Amino acid sequence: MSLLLQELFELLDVGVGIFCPDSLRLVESNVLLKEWFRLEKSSDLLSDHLTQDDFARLQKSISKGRIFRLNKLVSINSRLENISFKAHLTTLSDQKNYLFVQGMINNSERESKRIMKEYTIIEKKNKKLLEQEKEKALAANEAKSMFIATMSHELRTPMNGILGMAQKLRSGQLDFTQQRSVRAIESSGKQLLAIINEILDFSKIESNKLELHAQTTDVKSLTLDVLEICSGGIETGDKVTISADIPSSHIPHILVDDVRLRQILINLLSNAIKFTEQGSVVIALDHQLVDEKHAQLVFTITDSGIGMLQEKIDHLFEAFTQHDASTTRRYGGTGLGLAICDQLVELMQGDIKVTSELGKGSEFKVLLTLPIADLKHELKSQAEGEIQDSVEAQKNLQTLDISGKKILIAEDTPINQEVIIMALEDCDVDICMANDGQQALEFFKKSHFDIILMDCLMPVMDGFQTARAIRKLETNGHHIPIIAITASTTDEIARQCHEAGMDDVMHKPFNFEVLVNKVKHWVNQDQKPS
Amino acid sequence: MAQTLFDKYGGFDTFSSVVSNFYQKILDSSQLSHYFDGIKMERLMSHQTSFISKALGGPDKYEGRDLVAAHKGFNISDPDFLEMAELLEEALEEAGVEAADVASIIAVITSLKDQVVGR
Repeated sequence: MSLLLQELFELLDVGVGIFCPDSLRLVESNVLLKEWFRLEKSSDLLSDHLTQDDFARLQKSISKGRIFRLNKLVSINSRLENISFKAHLTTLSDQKNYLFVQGMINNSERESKRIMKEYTIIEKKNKKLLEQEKEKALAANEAKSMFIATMSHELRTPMNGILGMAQKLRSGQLDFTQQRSVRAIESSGKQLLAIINEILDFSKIESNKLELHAQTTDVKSLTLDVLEICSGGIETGDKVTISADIPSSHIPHILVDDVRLRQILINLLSNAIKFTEQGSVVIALDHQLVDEKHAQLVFTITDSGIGMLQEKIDHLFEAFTQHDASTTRRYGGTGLGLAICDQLVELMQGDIKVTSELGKGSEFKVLLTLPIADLKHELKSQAEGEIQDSVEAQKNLQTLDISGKKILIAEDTPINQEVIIMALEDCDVDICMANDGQQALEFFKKSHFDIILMDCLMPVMDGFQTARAIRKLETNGHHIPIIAITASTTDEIARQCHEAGMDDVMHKPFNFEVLVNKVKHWVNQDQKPS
Repeated sequence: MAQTLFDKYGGFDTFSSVVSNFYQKILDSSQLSHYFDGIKMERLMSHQTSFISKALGGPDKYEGRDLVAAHKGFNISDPDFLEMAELLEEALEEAGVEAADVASIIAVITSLKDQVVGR
């Protein structure tokens, strides 16, 4: 070998050497290989620098004529480096067999293992962070829903005062201007109440707190009801005709939450009316039997109104969005109506389809596959006849006299006290007002009453506690009717009221006539529990 | 349920390194390497990892062809198959798989011989 070649050999970044295949004693090598195996310093036998396992593997490879590979960690300049060795038998020009060993620094595997490990750690960390953030977001959303629910409840309470006072005012002696002002107060109040209800509904749906209560429902008459309600505000001079298209064939009674179905249809129909200046708005009902137990109902609301572009349709059911910003000013509304409809239909496992053409009109289709009310329910629906009877009874109620009856009212808000008194003013009843539950209980102990009107949330002792205490005091099958008066519209509150022993629930704000009828109804129950 | 061999030795991480060591051995072997001329090794190794993992009770992620189809046209001989099994045995041993488990894995592989040899 030339001297230069010898030098080059020593300059290699690769460790190279040959060993005797039998004894594994070093024959020749460059410095690097010696350093890496610490040959010569202690021993020039390769076997002395291998573990027992590696040595056995090496021997096997030699005997089988295979390549032997070995990874070894070596400290170089106080740095641990991974060195990949490769060894196999070779015959050189001297016709002798040698074990040819070469090695080079190869940290790629170590490096990739380290990266893998770090990646796993980072991934775990990120997952944890993500989960924390998700929990935070959920908690924030929950808090928002709670806030909206509480706010809506708080808003309903003063609405009782406003609407109650307006009702009272309207029935008094007023000149024309005053009449108009009162009507404006009342209709604004009702509008505000509708908005509050929408927000409340939306927050209930969003926090999954809305439950559907399926009832045996006659969808034909429900559709006609909706038509009547929505066309109520239309003056005869208007350029819009509103009609219903209902098949004459028999449609079986369906099990569905009628209140919510009505809400969906009213929303869609009043929307159609809102956006239609002239032409027609039609609500059509169609049905098809899916199988023995299910029917598909299709409600189609078609209008000849302003219509919209496809990109608007895509965002139509998102909360708080309306046709566009300018229509918000022109047409009003919270932008929640369609979001609520969409979610209610989804809760009913149905579908809403929209087709529309700008300037020509829109068509909203609600498709619901619902169970047909079975025979038992049909029977129950016959019992609805009795309810019809009770509607008759309701009419009779108006002629009923409750003058001289003693009514105990538990209500902490002075304005609401006044509103209830106003509502009952013309009935010539004897009213006893308690400012909280404790006081009501004291009054109840001292004298006889025919009925109790009970606010639910009061200081000192709330309505639920008071009702329970009263029921405990009652003996000999005596049962005084208690009507809960609450600004909450949740099922939960209604359930709590009944659990506490109250007989009926009245929502604030209330219509005077409805309250009076409820009082008349319960006072005439002969004090029997319902 | 008894622990699977797949889980016992650390799952995909372990068996992917066994497979990569195994293919290094195959490519080092003058007897076997010619079978792999022009083969995309990364894909093969990924298939092989999934295949072995599935065979050892791990998750079924094997999406390759069935064994007969995969080896068709290679005309693999008996000795070559045995050489391959031996290299796999080595790779398993080097990964620290216990002798008894190596034997049972090799038994599984040997049972597949008819689907591989002479196709």
